Amino acid sequence: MTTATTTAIEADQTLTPATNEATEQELDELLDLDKHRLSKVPKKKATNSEKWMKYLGFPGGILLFLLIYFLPTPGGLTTSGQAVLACFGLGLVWWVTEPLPTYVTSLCLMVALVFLDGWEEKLVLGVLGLDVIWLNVTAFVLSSILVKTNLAKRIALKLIVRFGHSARSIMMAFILLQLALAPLIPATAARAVMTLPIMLVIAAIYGATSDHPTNFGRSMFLQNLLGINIFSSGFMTGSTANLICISFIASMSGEKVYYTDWMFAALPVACTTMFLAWIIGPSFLFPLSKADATPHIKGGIEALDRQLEKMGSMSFAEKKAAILFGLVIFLWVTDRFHLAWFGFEISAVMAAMLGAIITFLPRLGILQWNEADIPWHLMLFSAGAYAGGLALDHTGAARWAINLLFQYLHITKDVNFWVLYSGIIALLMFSHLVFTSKTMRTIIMIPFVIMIAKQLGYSAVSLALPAAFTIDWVIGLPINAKPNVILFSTGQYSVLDNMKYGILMTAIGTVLFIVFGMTWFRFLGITP
Amino acid sequence: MKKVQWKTMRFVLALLLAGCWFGVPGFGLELRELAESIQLNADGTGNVEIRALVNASGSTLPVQTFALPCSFKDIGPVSCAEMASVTATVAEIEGIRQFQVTIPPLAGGESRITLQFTAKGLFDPQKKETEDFGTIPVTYQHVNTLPQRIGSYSLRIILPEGQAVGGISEVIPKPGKNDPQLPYTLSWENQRYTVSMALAPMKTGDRQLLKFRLKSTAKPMILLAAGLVISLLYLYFFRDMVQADKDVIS
Repeated sequence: MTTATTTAIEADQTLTPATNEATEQELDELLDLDKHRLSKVPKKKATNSEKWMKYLGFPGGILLFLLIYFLPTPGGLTTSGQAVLACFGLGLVWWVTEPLPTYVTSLCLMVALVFLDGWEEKLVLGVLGLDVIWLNVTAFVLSSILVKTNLAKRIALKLIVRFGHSARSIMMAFILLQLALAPLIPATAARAVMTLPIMLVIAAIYGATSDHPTNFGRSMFLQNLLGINIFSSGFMTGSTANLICISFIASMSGEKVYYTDWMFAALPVACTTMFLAWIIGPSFLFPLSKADATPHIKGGIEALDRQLEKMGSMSFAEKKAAILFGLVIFLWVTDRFHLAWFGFEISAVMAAMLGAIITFLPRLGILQWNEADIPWHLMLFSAGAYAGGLALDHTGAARWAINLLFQYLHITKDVNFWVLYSGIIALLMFSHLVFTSKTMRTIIMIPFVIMIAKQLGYSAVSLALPAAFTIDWVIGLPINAKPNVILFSTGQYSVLDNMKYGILMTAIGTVLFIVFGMTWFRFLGITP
Repeated sequence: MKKVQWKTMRFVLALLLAGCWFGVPGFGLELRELAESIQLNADGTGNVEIRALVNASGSTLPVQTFALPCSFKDIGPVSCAEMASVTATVAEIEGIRQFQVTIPPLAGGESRITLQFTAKGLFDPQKKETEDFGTIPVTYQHVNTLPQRIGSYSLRIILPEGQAVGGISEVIPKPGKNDPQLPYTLSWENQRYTVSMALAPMKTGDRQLLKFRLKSTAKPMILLAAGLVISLLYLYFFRDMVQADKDVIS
């Protein structure tokens, strides 16, 4: 840690070499996000270990598929469920090892689901019409207006001039930004889209692009991914899944959980984790070299400051973009009041679609269709992931696997509470790796936890509430949540990078939940 | 719309008529439990066992006959496992079929009756040739056509040897969106796959339906061979990926 930290500090000290004047043309070129369009699939040179993973991943995925598919069908599972499990196993190995591009793996998964009677063809194809996909498409349109009008560049420059004295302080600024947005905007995808263009500009300044990913880009994008998801767990309204957990606890045990109960208990865990992620990412997992931690701008921060000054006051187009984006954000933030105001509720996807419509309006709008940067390959990747996840749920395979696991644990009254608590937290935390929906994970797992607590004579809250805090921890893979898919589209990190950071932080989070359970939650009266 | 209303009215009327016809003899009788077990055979027939727990404590007169809902169209002779003197016949009014069970006079207390018979045409084995993925659709529906409620109802369908549940197509009552438990259970008992459901209580007119697909447990071995061959071919033809001087662009 010492070496890495020292390197970073040394790098920070070289940020403003006064001797070098940045050429404006060079800077303009660097900040031109049209060169880093998300719709363009980046070409990356694989490292040695990545080459071996690709090479062995392909037959590895097939072998796992054959193993699951040709085992005798377990008693509690349908043959369709077994086929889906086998296909999902194949997809998971291929997504991680990438012998094929991730979107091609998704297409293979969809075809396999249909050919092996895993899921009906019309349902598999229908996944591309899910609200999640629509939200992604419309959100990328909105994101494009920030890029086209240079509003993203302005915000990024302001952020970097204010916090840019070190790469780490920029990352901390993003963490604080995500913390501030979490209680305001429950839609995690919306938060990802809002901050994505700013991340892209800052990554470009630090020389991290999809064609040339660096450890700065990996750390910053993945920290944002962690922040968006983990901070959702800090607030009861952070996601729909949180509210479903609360309603399960209330309906199955009669115990009521208030907003502040949730926040006082879960937010400190989320903040501690993010602080640790901020230290661990750039120090251990993706150590920042001097080059990674230095803005690739001649003249350093001063040059950027000059660039910001050169931009002058906000242009009309920027103001239009700000108002339009502000309108969509306003609708996202005020979703709970819509019913009273309009007589109906405007969902996150409809709000984004409204924004997209205005974006493309003649004269009033901001974008032409060709200027919208929509990564369609990402939509195909998402569709495959969702098809696999939904098929696991529809065929009962996910429920069967969880049931089996709980049966295997053989929980009796003799089990010590803390052993039980730790087991449940670990199971809930790591189970996100095989789910693509928080809501489904909630519906399948939380009632089990409540039933176990009741059977063993514990308060449902003592086990189910900490378990509920883990539902938003969907950080292990790009397929696990919407913001993960959106940030993955940047090409700044690989599935393996995501997995390394995500699984390490999941493990740390599990330990933190156990420590907090024994101390802070106990003080709050949640655990006995 | 009118057609639907007429159909509904006919059904209600038939229920009332059936209630009068079959229910009156068993007046005061309580049907506490009804458990149906169907062991399906490969030819589409099934060995059926219906266990009923009846209670006559509400009846002032000894009960000698009572009715049970019958969901089978074509059945063989019915026998009773407990007592040879018990007889059961099937009668039909307006499309509603019921067993009329005659037992030795039951004055108060509980009695357990087990009816056994063979039912035909539970599924069409020939459908395998025409259905997707060689599956055979099976539908079983049970309606409480009695004037009184059934305390608890359960259904257990044991699949033919070498067949598993391909998928559950429809279940009634439909599970709620946020229901933590599925309304059916799949299991493996005595070397056979089994699917079961339970409903308690079942009021007059309540319907329980289970629609699923039978699928052979045999897997296409060509898939195994193809998977292995493709893996080996990949390892051979892509071996240059891991050679030191080659760059892989993805």
